[in-house]
Amino acid sequence: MKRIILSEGENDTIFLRELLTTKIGLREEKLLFFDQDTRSNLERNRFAQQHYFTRLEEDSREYEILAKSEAGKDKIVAVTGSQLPYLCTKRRDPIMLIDMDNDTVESFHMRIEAELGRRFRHFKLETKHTLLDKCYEAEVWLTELIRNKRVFGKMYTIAFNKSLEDVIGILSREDSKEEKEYKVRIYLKKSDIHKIFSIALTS
Amino acid sequence: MEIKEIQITNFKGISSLELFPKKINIIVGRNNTGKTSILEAIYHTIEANFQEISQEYEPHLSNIINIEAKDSKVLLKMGSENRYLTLIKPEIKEVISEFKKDVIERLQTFTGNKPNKDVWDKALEILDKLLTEERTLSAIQNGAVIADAAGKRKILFSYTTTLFKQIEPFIEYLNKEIFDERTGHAIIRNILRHPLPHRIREDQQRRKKAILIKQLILSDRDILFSGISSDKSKLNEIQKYLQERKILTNLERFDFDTLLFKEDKREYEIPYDFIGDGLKALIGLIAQLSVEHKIILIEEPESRMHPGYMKELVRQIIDISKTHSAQFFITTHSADILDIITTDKLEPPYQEYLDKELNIVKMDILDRVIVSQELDQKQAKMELEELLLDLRGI
Repeated sequence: MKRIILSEGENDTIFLRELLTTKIGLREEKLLFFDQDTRSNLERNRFAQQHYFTRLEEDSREYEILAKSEAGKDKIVAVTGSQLPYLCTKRRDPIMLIDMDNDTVESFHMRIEAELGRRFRHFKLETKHTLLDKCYEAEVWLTELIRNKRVFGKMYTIAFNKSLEDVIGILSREDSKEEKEYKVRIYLKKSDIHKIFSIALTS
Repeated sequence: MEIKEIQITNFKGISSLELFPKKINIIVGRNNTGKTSILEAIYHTIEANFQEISQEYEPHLSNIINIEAKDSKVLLKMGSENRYLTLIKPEIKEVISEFKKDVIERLQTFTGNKPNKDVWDKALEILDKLLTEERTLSAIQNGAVIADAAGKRKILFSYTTTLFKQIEPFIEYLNKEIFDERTGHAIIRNILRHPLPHRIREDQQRRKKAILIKQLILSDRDILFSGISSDKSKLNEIQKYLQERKILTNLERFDFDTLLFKEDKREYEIPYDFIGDGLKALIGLIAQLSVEHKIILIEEPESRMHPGYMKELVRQIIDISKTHSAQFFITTHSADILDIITTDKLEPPYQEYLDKELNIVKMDILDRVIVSQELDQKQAKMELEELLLDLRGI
């Protein structure tokens, strides 16, 4: 099943590329990355998000995963609030990769619920959140969107207790891209974080 | 007159929708997401003209009511003068006598070959007999709706193919007595399906508060029959608009036959037919509107229009909204129109108006339900520029 992963920034993209290819076993050519922060001005064109959604659905390369970084948690909330019901109708069950920092998963869920409620006043969706698993550095939650007493769609939240950078030891402003990739590889060798992702990807 | 709130229930594909419009309302979304239904719901509720409703939806009147419902309701909250339109599927007992009256009223528009009393009595006798048959009543009931608006209530009938089959003996008899055998069936069916001439005349003379424009460009037929080509004040208004906005430089005189230009003391004419569709659309909007129109509904104005003219169209719409105190509801698929109204492409007075008065309604279908999202200009800008989303939907 094709899936969409929404994350906060450029470092998540580096992490996801390594995780999905080396630990989950997906082929690089089946992954489609869209990084809001690092796209050139030319690519930051109108409707770029929709363009990538469409590529996931229709491209002849038959991508399996669209991994999008949204330049911050606020934009994850905004894009999710705007697009989640549509993604559910396509059974894409999006996965949110977030840093809890000093916040809680519950508050992230509440922000998404508020955004959905504001945008879809006449399409009431109830939510049911379930903690599926956790490891030392992160946890995975399932959110079921319920409409008329049946599950309309699902969303997964993978939340680092602090932040991805903190767990891996990335220095965002000082490390080069190569250094970040190296640190991610070292981290993945000793971590069980892929089990958390496998739960979200295979459920 | 300004609509502050719209509630639509079970109207065509829309099961439930609530909107809070502003002066300029742009409705976007994929095909079959209810955009046109919103325009029609607003128009028919404001006008409450049953004949027009009957004419527009014939022979599918009952399909206006959402398939899963027994009635449909549109409520427009407009401060102290709320308007409503209710359509209800009637019971069989309600349709029998009204249907007969409707048939008589429609057929009495005959001229020339008007049937004599004996023929007419015999025809009605046949009809009465048919109206005792369950299948006939069911065919009448399935196509009928009770319309209730502006304090008026009337049953509107659809003359469907199924109904024609059920009342075939009645049609056949009239055909045999009045018309040529080969053409008679078609004539009687046409008379039953088409609106009554005196009602059409009344409708044309009535001053309307709302206008639903499905095609900005006037056809030859529109120009010929609307009388606009001899309406001097309207021709002047169009000419003044084209001159003041410098849309046609050196224009001396405008009419729907030719446009006269003067350049370096030299005069030359260009036939109206030769000008481009974009310009014809701008002209068409002015031509179709009057100051009485306070609710202006336009379906896809971008049709056959070059993007270069769209900016002018948006300016024109804002100007009309300001000067006529009119409210616009516009459906569009145009990325150019969305770009113009959400970026800084217009002059500051237009920007300020949109900042305050723009409402973008995003329509879509989720779980087989038509849903809407409303965005003001700031929210629309955020979606377009920050989130890089397409307001028109995935």
